[in-house]
Amino acid sequence: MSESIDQLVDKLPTSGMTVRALGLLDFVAPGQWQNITGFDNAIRYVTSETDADTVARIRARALSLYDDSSQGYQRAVSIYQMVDSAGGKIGLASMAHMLGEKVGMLSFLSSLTPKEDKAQTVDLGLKLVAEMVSFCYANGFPGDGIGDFMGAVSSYEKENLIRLSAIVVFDGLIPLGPDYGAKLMDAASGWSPSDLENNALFQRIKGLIPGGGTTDAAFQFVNSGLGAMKDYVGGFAGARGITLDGVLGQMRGVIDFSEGKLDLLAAFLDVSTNYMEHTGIQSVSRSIIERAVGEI
Amino acid sequence: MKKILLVLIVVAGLFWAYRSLSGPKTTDMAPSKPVAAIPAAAPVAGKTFNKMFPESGDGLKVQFTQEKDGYAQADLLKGAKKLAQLSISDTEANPSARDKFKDSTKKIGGHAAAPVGAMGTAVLIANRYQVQVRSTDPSFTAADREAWISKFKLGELN
Repeated sequence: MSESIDQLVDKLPTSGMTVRALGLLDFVAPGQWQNITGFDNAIRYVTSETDADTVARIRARALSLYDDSSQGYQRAVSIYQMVDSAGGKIGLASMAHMLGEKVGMLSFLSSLTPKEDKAQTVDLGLKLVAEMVSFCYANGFPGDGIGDFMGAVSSYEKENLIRLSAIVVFDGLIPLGPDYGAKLMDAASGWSPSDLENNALFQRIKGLIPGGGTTDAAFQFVNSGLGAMKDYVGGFAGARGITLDGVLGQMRGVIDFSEGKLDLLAAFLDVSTNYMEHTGIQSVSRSIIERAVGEI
Repeated sequence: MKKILLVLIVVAGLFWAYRSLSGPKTTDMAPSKPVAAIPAAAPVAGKTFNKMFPESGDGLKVQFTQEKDGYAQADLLKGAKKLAQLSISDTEANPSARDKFKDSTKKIGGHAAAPVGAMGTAVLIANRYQVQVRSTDPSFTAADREAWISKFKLGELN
């Protein structure tokens, strides 16, 4: 284990491109997400406890739970981190001047490589799979059957909900357009193991995907999951009243981009944010804190 | 939104099925360990607690949200609003949790009761299992917490 959960939450940024980009999604899920940073702040936020001794006891139990690798929380965080740890990320230092300013993408053009649609659909699918696997590591399989489990996932709110929205908008709607769902369907039905093997995101997370010891087994897992998704995944934007124009309208206030270059905008969001890791750490810390206060 | 969540559930189901078929290959997700490896006081599986939670009813829904060895947790929901967090934990994993009951004179359903911070109320069953109800909405009072503790099937924990 590289870092404890309190260290991870303590160092979450309060500003920067990730926070600004997630803030733009507030219209998707109004008021659902607050950027809670600092582990004691998270304890107070999740439990509404303010007494210092109580917070300290919750903290101690939470750290113990995270420290035990058999509990699954570390692995959940690892998946979120690996999804976001692309080699081409723009360094935090070069992002410093973005705070509070409108970001000009032109200055980062040399860092941006638009993805082909195929690679982008694979990324979208893998992020959805990674989200579900992480949820299972963090929360187990609550309840007595798929009905109970469905209820747990349907209760997605706060950090979980904003992250799911970000996957669909940043990795679906913007790079692939309004028919991102259809493109994912086509991709899921036509992938071969080599498509996954050649995907950088898959290479990072395959060890944590069930069956990831071999590409063929991981492919079977990923493709079966996405095959089941194909009739539904495109409905997210419509169900939430999310349109490409609406999203771009929000983006214009923060980022200068060219209307015809949405693949570049998507590439920029990809390299300039780590929304999976950021909100993933917040989600896992919530799960641990809720359990810790239940156990002290 | 619901559609995509349903879809994600399908993936989870596949994951679940995969785990069931392939057996525990990692320690993280292993639902149980070989019997020989379990110390006498190892925490019981969280799933065994599920049937002891209160039932949904009267417009309120009990929604399971987390399940680990020695622990099960549910939300008490009124529509989309979360009123309370319900949990059962095996204090074998954290024995100091029993300390707060030692000097307690308060009882709920005949079991020693104690506050957990300002927002929680707990009882200790069989000197081992802690049942806790925590308010997550201001409308859910301490009296509501006691009432909901009584709705757990406490007798089955003995």
